[in-house]
Amino acid sequence: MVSVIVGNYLLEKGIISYEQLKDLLAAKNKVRVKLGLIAVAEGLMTQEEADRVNSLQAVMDKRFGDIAVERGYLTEGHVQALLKKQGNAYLAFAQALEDQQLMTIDQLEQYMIDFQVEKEMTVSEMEDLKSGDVDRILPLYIPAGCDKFMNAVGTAVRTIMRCVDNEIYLDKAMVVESCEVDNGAVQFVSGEESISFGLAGKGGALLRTASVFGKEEFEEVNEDALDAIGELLNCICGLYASALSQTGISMELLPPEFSTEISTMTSDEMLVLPIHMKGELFYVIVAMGKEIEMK
Amino acid sequence: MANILIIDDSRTSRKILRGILEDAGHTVAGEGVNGEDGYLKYKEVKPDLVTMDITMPKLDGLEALQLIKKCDESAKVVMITAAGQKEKMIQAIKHGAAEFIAKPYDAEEVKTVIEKVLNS
Repeated sequence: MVSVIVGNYLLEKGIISYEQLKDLLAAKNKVRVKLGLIAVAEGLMTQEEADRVNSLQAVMDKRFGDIAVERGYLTEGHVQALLKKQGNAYLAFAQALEDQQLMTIDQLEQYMIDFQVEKEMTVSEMEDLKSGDVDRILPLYIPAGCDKFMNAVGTAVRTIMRCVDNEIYLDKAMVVESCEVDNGAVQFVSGEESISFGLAGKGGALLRTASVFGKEEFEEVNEDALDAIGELLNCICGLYASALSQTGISMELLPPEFSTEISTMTSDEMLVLPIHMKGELFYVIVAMGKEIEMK
Repeated sequence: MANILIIDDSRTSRKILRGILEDAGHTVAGEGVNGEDGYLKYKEVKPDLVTMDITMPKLDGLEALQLIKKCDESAKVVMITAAGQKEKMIQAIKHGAAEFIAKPYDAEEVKTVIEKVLNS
């Protein structure tokens, strides 16, 4: 998720093109993050020091970490800590940017400072974002005082990432009474802690999600496509109910409902989380203790 | 290879399951779109095995399971569940369900469970 968030920020600012973003997202899964890049990102070495060690590596049969320790740039402890970060998604994206000669990690970090200022995020929140951990990133998009929605929204986002596409990014969620949409599906889970989940969008926003999950190329968001969305909701609701059952709370899933012709989804109080996926915007909707009505 | 009846209100679920079963060499003898329709199809096609979704409108999977077992005690019925339907699963065992398959489908798991039940 962090790669898509950072990548789309660079795209919005006109720093990279859409084609470059697509290439970067494909490349980030294959790159091996270099220790030097991580050391610069962590502020333990300067770009010049990392470049110097890289140059020495070309003439010495030694690893980056060994040379950096010999030169006094890093300690053994630093090297071990840096090695553990080689699987980090933000750093993998940074490495892909560097490999494609679009920018160095130093330059990316400068853009991330602009990002932090623009999004009014704290240092700690930036660390959460760069961790690449969905469970640390998601709370950044949930309004204060809405913790009660967190587990449900987390289940929905993780399931969408696992079953449809993990390259999504989010906008800040809102707590509202209604949400304007053209089509969507809802499912009610009844029990001690009843809850409703919805997936909805405007126009063809749900088309790709329906096609990927339903394993069928839909041409429009018709009843068949929404049936696939309903099945995705069924999986989300099932996983949520399963987690609750571990704490002794029994829930019952009602069949999903869907409609191709609605103008709003409403409930007394519902959290609406906008999700961007491959240029489309749709919503995950959660209402605690109430049903979501499609009107 | 077996003749299998799929009972599920979701077209998507039926379609994906059909693909997995046919890929494993089985024949989908029919599809029921809810519990009531599934029960009627069962009497019509007499399949070797039934896959039965639990959450359905009209008759749900548990009610349809009971009707099928009432008319054919030897019927092999595999229940399809979303995660988190523990209570329903316990009731389904009481009513004679042979096995369970969880959604979203894992093709290998589906094939293994179906083979196991057919060979039981």
